[in-house]
Amino acid sequence: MPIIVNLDVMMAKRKMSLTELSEKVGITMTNLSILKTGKAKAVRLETLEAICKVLNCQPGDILEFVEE
Amino acid sequence: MKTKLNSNVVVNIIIIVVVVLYITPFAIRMLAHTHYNSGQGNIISDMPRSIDPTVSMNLPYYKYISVRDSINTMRNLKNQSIPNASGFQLGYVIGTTGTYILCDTCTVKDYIFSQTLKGYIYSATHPNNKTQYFIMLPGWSLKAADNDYYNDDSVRFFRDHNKAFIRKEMIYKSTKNKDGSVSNYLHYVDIPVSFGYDQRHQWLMIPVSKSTRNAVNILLGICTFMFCFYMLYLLSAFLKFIADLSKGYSFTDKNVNRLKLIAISLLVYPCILFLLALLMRLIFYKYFIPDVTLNQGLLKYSWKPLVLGIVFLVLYRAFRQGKLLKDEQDLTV
Repeated sequence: MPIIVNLDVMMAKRKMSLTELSEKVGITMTNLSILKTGKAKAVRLETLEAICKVLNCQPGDILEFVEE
Repeated sequence: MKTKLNSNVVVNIIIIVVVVLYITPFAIRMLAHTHYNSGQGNIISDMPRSIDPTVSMNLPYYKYISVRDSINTMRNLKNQSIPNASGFQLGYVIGTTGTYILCDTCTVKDYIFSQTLKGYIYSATHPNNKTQYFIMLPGWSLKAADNDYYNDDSVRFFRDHNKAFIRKEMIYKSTKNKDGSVSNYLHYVDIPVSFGYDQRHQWLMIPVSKSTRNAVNILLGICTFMFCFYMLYLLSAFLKFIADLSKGYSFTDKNVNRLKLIAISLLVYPCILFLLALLMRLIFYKYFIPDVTLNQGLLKYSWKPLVLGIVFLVLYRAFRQGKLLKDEQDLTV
């Protein structure tokens, strides 16, 4: 998929676990896992906003476009 | 100026065209009948000998009905229309039956042992207990004559001395009158045929031997059971679909596949019936004459599964789209 989700990279930089991130963002671990593994088809802007707030980063730090 | 044809306009145009095509034959017939009703239409030049005794119109009403009914019963017996052997039937495609063989001088009493509340019981020990076996072709019947709009029985089947005939009107001369109308001169013709005919249900019957009938019966029995099992399978699929809906599992792969299976089965069923009826014509082509045509009942019977099939097809498309949306929603974080 051309859009790569670098959530695990940001989580490692901020030293945060998946469980802690899901609690702070307010979405289930299942959904976060779907996002982390790149299986998600769409991301809501409010979810992206919440993740960026918690991880203190920009959307571009989490989402990266790579041509196939 | 270009006009954009959206789907609503296209549907309206299609409906108008269908209505016009449906009304046009009636309008043409009405114009033709105006000419027919002028009193200078068909002229029958010779009346044929009566197939059955005529009932006197001078009889009291109750006696008239009684005599007429007994003549009709005898005619049905002579025409071998009253079954005495059951068999399987596959809808409007094919079936088997057996009927009494009645001689022209036999009476009803010779073949009816006793009457109960439910009907007649035939005596197996009767010396004349001969049975003629048939393969029924319910998809085919005798057509009405082209120049007869009112009486569907104008091509009439009957048996005389155990030989089968059809009686029909034929035009042997047409003359043009002074006012421009046309007078058709008709006479009745008795044409020998090799098939039997069930006048009550209006379907063709092909005479066969007992062994042939038994073999076909076994085959039909297997097909009937397979068909019934398949119908039950479709019914269970529909019930499971309803059960899943009630549990909240609406847009699943299983439900989409169930709807697809039901839709395809309902749409294909009348097509298969029609093709099998044509296949019967190919197999028994020796017995067919130009007056044998496709049974209108087959067409009337087919529209219901077609309409239901279209409904299920639409449901399948809707649920398929719903499943795609649900999958997208499920993978939206």
